[in-house]
This record gives sequence, C-alpha cells and structure tokens, in this order.
Amino acid sequence: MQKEDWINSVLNSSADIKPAEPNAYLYHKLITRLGESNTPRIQSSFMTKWAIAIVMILLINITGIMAYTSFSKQKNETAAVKALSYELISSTAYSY
Amino acid sequence: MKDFSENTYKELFECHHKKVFNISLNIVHSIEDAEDITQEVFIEVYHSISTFKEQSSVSTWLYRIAVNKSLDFLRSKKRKKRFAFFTQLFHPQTGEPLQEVSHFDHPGIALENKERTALLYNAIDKLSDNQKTAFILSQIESLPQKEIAGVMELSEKAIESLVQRAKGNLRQQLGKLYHERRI
Repeated sequence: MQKEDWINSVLNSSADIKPAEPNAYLYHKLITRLGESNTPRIQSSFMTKWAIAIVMILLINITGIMAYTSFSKQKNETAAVKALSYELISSTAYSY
Repeated sequence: MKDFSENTYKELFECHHKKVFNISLNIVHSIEDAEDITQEVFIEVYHSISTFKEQSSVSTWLYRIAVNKSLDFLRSKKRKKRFAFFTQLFHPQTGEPLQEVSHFDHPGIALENKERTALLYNAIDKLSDNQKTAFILSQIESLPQKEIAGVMELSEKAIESLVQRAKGNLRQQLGKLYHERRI
C-alpha cells in the first residue's frame, strides 16, 4: 500500500508543474536570428560546396595522371628488361 | 515576409511561444536549449507559412514542429554522447565511472515537489518517443486529446492507449526505484 501511495504521489506530481516563463527578450533574439539566417550563409555554403567539388576533381585527375605515368614507366622498364634477357638467350644460342 | 505581416507574426509568437517553450522544456530539460528550439520553431514558421495547408489549426502545427525539433535535439545529443571520448565516462584520477546526474531546474516546480518531479522526469526520459510525447502533452501540458492526436498525427484512440502504456511503464519503473531506495 505504501509503495502504491508513493508511486501515485510521484505520478501526480506532474499536476503541480506550473508553466515556465521564457526569456522576455526571446522575440528580439528571434528577429536578430532571422535577420542573420536570411542571406549570406546560404551563399557561402554554396561557394564552399563548389570549391570542395573543384578541389576533389583536381585531386582525382592528378592522382589518375600520376598513377598512369608510373604504370606506363614501369611497363616500359619491364619490356626493356625482357628484351635484354631474350637478346642474351639468343646470343648464347648462336655463339659457338 | 510572405503572405503575412510582421504584426501578424508577432501576434502568432505572443500567442503560442510560451506553450512551445514549455513543450520543448519538458522534453529537453534545459531552459537554454528550449529557448533555442522555440526560436527554431518560429524561424521554420517564418520560412514555411506558405506551405501550411490549414488541415489542422496553427497551434497544432506549431506544437508538432516543437515536438519534432525537441526529439531531434535529444537524438543528436544522444549521438554525440555515444561518440564522446571514452575516458570522459570515467573520473580522471580515480578511474571510477562517472554517473550522469540530471540538473534540470524547472522554474515551474515548487521546492517541496522538486525531488518527486525529478524522479518523474527521469522515468519519463526512459519511455519511447511516442509514449513520452503523449504523456507530456496530456499529463503535463494538459492539451486536449484531439489536439494531441493532431500533433502526433495519430488517432485519439491511439493517443489514449499510448498514455495508458506510458503510465503503466512509469509505474513499473517507479516500483523498481521504490525497492532500490528501500535497500
């Protein structure tokens, strides 16, 4: 019984909560915030997005070019080594 | 301002800002955050008044935005906490786990009721979003069931059942707490 009474008293305490008063200058703060949020922020975020996109495109291109050059360089080197080795084999085959 | 004058906007604010503030305050438990959310609600109203379809009353629409913004705020707060640095959960010297104590100082609660309402708010926090909203709007904000149904976009029957389930869960939680306090 004591337990039920205690639970009821805690649950019923919601009835004793009175509405709180917000800051008296809330409307002025709101108007200031509305003024701030109206123009420049959207423009700057739009510019930032474009700048990030351009940098990303440049990075992808540069990385691609670098990877391609190193790959073709490596390919040329391997070809040269192979050619050299074939030449050595053929020279031993015919020199008697 | 689109379609409505600054005076109308101010009137709308004067009529509803206290209720919007109190709904947010009861959900987020911080005066500063509730004031921020109240401002955000009215900023959204300013930007989207032209899309308001008048299927519900303005107050219902405002309270719906307030509830959604408050719940979003709580979710993002929880997310931030989850990603917080692990060691912050422990005392730097002793290594003991730190227990989070809620310091919610509701200005509308009398001193003699502070302890009981703190227990109630802690228990409300553990309810699901729907049960929490239904309980706060009906038992603390005393909104009519029809309006709560409009705010939550549910039927009146569903609201009634949500409130009943919330009360049942609160009773269960408080029952456990009663035993813990006696040990």
